[in-house]
Amino acid sequence: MNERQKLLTTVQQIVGTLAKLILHEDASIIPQFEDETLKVEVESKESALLIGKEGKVLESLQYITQRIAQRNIPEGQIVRIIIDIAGYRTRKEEEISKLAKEIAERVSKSGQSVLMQPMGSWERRIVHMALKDEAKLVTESEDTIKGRQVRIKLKEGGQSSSGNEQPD
Amino acid sequence: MKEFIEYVVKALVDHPEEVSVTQIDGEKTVIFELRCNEGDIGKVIGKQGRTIKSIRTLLGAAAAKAGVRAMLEIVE
Repeated sequence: MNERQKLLTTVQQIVGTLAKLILHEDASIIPQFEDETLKVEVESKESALLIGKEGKVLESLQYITQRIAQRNIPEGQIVRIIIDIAGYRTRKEEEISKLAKEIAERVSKSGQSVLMQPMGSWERRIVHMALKDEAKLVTESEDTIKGRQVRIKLKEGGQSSSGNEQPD
Repeated sequence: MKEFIEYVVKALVDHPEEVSVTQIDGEKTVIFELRCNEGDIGKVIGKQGRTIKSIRTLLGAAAAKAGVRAMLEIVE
């Protein structure tokens, strides 16, 4: 077995064990490499529970899997693990980029910046990626009381957008 | 739930043989007390508490499935 195959088996075992210990049921775990990222597809009758509110359980499952897997691979080698459950991330990715594009259009028209709802790093990245080719706009993450939020605004030197500080 | 905590913590620390989890059953809430080698506590807590927070979130899901509330405390 080569290194990658060994890692796939290890990660499949880790996610399988975690899911089983949490749900007391077997889940289907399919890990595969996409370039340098190890993607794991999970399917279970209890998918909703394993995703959790706003994907919080899924994020934790991914983080713990990453931490455990990291201890099983040679020093210095890093592998990025992405877990998806019942297509949740794929759906969320489509939703967020659609929303980001709608807001971008509004910002372009009005010149007023818009602060999006607080989101995790993975979701904020979707916004940044969705709008990276917008010549007139920039996206910036800001720390607020509510968490990290992405602001979509016109590029400096573009139309004036002063007086647009909105708490929400 | 106890098994889950033991599996995760043992997989993260340098001294898995020193990991012990005590379960205290309440009426609606189950409390788990975790003990491990002093040098491993940092590994269980993680940077900015991210690891222990994740373990607690997953424990919450396991508890929801079992129809109870669960708490996890690290005993030093």
